[in-house]
This record gives sequence, C-alpha cells and structure tokens, in this order.
Amino acid sequence: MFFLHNTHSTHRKMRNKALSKLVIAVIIAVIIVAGVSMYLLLGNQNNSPSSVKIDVSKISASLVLGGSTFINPQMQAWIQQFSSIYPNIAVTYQSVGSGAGVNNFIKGTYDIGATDVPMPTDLWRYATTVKGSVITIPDIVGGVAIIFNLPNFNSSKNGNLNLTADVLAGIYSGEIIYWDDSLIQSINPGFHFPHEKIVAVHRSDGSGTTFVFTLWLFKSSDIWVNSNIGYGYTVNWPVDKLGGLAGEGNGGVTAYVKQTSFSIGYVEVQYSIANNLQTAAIKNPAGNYVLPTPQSVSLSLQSIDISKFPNATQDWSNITALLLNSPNPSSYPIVTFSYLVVQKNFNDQIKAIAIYVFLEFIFTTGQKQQNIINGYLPLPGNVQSFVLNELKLISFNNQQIYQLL
Amino acid sequence: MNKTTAIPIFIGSFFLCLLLFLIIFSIAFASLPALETIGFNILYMYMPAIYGSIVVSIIAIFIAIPLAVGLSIFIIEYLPDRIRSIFININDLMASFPTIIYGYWGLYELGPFLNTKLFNFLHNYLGFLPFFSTKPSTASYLLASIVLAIMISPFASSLIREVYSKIPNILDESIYALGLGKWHVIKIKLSYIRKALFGAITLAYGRGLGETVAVDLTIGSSFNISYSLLAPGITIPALIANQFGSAFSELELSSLFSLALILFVIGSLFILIGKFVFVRNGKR
Repeated sequence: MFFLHNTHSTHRKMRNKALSKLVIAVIIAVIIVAGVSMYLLLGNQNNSPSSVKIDVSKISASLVLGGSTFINPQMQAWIQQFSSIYPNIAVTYQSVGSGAGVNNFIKGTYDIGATDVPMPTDLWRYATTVKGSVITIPDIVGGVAIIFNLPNFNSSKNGNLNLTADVLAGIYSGEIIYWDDSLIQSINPGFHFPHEKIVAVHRSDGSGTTFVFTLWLFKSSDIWVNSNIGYGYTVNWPVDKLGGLAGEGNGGVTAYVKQTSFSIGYVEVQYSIANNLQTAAIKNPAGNYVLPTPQSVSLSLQSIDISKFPNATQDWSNITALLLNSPNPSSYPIVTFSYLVVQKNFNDQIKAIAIYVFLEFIFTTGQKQQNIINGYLPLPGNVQSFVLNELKLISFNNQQIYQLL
Repeated sequence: MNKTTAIPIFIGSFFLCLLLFLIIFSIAFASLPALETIGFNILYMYMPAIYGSIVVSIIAIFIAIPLAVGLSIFIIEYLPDRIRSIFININDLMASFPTIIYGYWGLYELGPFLNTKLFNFLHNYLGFLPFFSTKPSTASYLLASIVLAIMISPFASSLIREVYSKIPNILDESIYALGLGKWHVIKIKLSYIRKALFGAITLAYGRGLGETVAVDLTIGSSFNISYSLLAPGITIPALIANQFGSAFSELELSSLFSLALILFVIGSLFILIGKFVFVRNGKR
C-alpha cells in the first residue's frame, strides 16, 4: 500500500512537470507565429509620400490581376516580358472569366480586372460607389471564332463551313437540332452533312466571350431576339435540354469541342490556332462569308470613330457594339476589344506606381507587333494614344503618378 | 477516464460541435435573402442540380461500396503479410490523391475509353431503356458517377479495412470450429462490423455529394434534367463553383448559399434513410 501511494504521487509530479513544459512550448510557439505574421502583414507597406522623381527599378510590389480567359495567352506573354524589365514587380494573372474578374475587382481581390466587355451600366455605377472613379480602357483586339468538330470535314476539300447569325442563333436556342438541317446544308453545298445532333458547347462561368457572342446574336438575328435569351456574362441556355455542354473558360470550351464529334463552340481566335481547330466562315453584313484572320479582324477596326469614345472614367457599356458587324465587305463580324478596369485613385503609392508602370508597358511596348500573340491584334494607333493619355489619371492621394516618374 | 483527460476531451468536442453548428447556421443565415424572396420556388429553379447531385452520388455509392468492401476483404483475408502492407500503402495513397487529377483523367482518358467500349454498347443494345436513350456524350451522369466511385472507394476501403482488421481472432476460430468455410467467416465478420460499415458508407457518400471539380469536368455542366445517364447534367457543387465567381448581387450569392443548404439537407436526409434501412438497433 505504501509502495502504491509513492508511485502515484511521483507519477503525478512527473505529469505536472511534463504539462508545464508543454505549456511553455505552446506559449513560445504562439509568440513566434504571432511575431512572424505581424512582420509579414505590416513589414511591406510603404505609404510615405514623396515629391522627388522616383526610380521605378528600386520599387518592389506585387500585383494581382484576373478575369477574362479570352486574353489569357496574351496577358501571360505580357507578364513574362514585363517581368524581365521590372523583375521586382511581381505580376500574376488569374484566368477565371470576365464575370469573376469584374466581381473580384470590385471586391478588392484583384488590383486590375480584365473583362471582354465594359461593365454594364448598373455594375459600373456600383463599382464607382465602392472604388471611387473607375477607369475602363481597351487593351487588345480579338475575335470570337466559331470552332467545330465535324469528322470528315476538311476545308481544303469541302471549302469553309459557312454559318450565319441566324443559323448560330438557331443552334444555340435549340431550334436547329441536326447538322443536316436545310438551313445549314443550303449554304454549304460542298459537303454532305450527316444526320447527327449538334452538340452546342457554351460557357459555364461568367464570360465576356459569351457576352460578346450573345450581344452579336441579339443584334444580328431575329431568331435570337424572339428566343428571349438576351445577352450577358451568363444566359439561360435552352440548348442544354438537347445535350449542350458547358465548359469552364475558353479552354474548357475548346477541350469539349476537340473531344466531342459533331460539336460547335465559340472561343477567342487564339484558342482555335493553338489547338489546330477549324473555324467557320461567318456571314458579315455585306453578305460575304469571312474567316477570322488578322486581315478580316483589322478591317473591322477601320470603322471605329474614336470621337465616340467616352472618357475612361465614364460608362463604356455602349462601346462593345461599335466593333460588331462592321460594314467593310471583307471584315469579320464578331470582333471586340478586351478591357482592363482599374480604380483611378490609390492610397498606396507603391501600388499605384506599379500599376501605372505595368499599364504603360502594355500600351507601349506591349502593343508592338512582335509582342502580340497570334490570334490577337494590337490597338489601332489612335486608340493607343487615347489610352496612354487616360492613364495619366492614375493617382495617389489625388496626385497624378505620371508626374512622379 | 479521470478528470485530467476528461476535461480537454469535453472542451474539444464541445468546440467541434459548436463549430459545426456555426457553419450550418452561417450558411442558413446567408441563404435567408434568397429564401425570403424566392421561397420554395428555389427547389424548382435548381431542380437540375438537385437531381444531378442525387443521381450521381447514389450511382457512385452503389459502385464504390462493393469495390471498397471487396478490396478491404482481399487485403486482410487473402494477401500474404509482406504484400499486404504494400497494398495498404497504395490504398491510402489513392485516397489522398488530388481529386482534380481524377477529373482530368476521367475526362480525357477514361471518358473516351468508356464511350467506345461500354457506353456505345449500352446505347445501341439497351437504348430502349430510358437510362441509355441518348447517344453517349463526352461528359455524362454515368461518367461522373464512375469517376466519383473510383475516387471515393479507396477512402471507404481504408476505413472499412481498418475496422475489419481489428475484429478479434476468436470470431474466426469459433466459426471454423463450427465447420463453416471462409466465405461464411467473411459474411459473419462483415455483419459484425455492420455499424462501422454504415459509418464508412456515410462518410464516402458525404464526400461524393460534395465533390466539386472532378464532377464539374466529367458531367458537362449542362443545366438540364435527363433520365438518360449518358446525357450531360449538373450537380449542386458544380453549379456553385461555376457561378460563385461572377455572382454580382446579394440575391445571386444568397441563392448559391441556399443551394449549399439544400445539399446539406439532402445529405442528411439520405443518411437518415440509410440508417433506418440498414442499421437496426437491437438484436437481429
């Protein structure tokens, strides 16, 4: 009994010793974690204003951009080139779709949002209340290509696949179900279509590409207007009832079309080039069937009247339609700018400078032909000058950044 | 259990339950705007996603559980000692594999393979059944179910195997002593761990219900209800993942939260039904 009592109390003493060691270790760990996190959170801010000229190469910052999958290949190329010039400014781009890009820009997750259409008016007004003045600027020119997967169809043998806005509206509203529909067969006499269902591939996420495509359909086809589907970052797709598929991002649509026989989809031209997919020739307002080539896309730009452009801080939502359905007889009808949205005034000077420098790069070096990826076109010269001028609006505490550089 | 170990355990479990309750409560709270504005119409609005979630998870479970039970029994009963530990490691590794890889593998490798080898056959010969009445699509309910089953069976198998291996040898020996064979031993041992089996099924089912990326890729995100398993469809997590990024208004966000709430309710309902059907308290 005496023996038992002894072991019980020494056991308890040992346990108390171990317990106190554990408590001390935990306290030390908490202090270390708290100290490190405080250093990381607070250590990198630099808000001191300065009135001398700033040496940009000494600045280190990190920028997060996100949005349009439409421009992703081009944006990645720009970021790579930019990083070699300014290695201390780390830029990342998240290709999540224009809808998420704009949404995250408003929420503050992204410093710059990328969207293939300017924000619709209501959204733009809301963004302005949250972030102050918002600058909307076009950064590149692209086209929406119609890709398809028709086994045994070869453009060198059968000619181009000709499609019109009415046919595409019929396909995507579920009215045209089979490839050998008379509307398709009659404009493509060089190919005998099989009696197969068309698998229409569209987007599952909020997409600027969808916005441009559906807006074009809305403006070009009564079938689309009467279907009441409308246009937007997302729409209801009645074609889902017929086995339509929804891909995530331009890449997702491309993947589905590549893998699914008898499918059709809409993507930025670059994705069709990179994946060796045939594109359809679309009927333009002049009545010609045109493939999306650099020439046909650039001809759409000739009809731009830059005097119609609003100031960068105003509502740009009417501009998308300007590039669609150009009257030039050899132009491609589904052409669009892609846009960047950024707030005008910052309270973090380093961030403001980094953003200005990055944007200035895009609109000078980035627009040079050798830096443009296959499938995109640089902005016309007058638009470039217009944007560079609007960039001067970017300011820190209402002091314009460009004056400091 | 004495006081010094009981108190931390009690505090830990209390906080865990509190956390669970807080999560459910915050989802419910975030769904209120949508539920107030749209009300029960929300079930009708999102029926394709609800239908898809139920169909895919049920089929996946029916495929995964026999596979998982079979694998566990094989590992414990039939493998020699040295090879057994290799298989156990592989099993656990597969259970922790990133699910997005399963998704892309399912879409690019398994999908075309199944389409040519199995789905076309099902459609051509059994096409009169509503389940196989459409031409096999690149992404379909059935493909998503199969990929999901492949994903959750290692997980279920790890759980079942661990419990199965702990059954005392006395049971084996007494059944052999009665003159019965190995098959009877396995059957009796399985019924011995019936409750743990149900637990593993529940966990695997929960994981299957919530799986987002792999199902999103292999089901096609087609907002439609189809009786054909070879047609594309959509599930609730896939729908939430697709729309969350571009949910601009409070109402849109709130609708997605109410979808999450619906998924939680569906999951709980099925588990309760399962419990009622498969696990009976008291002696059999």
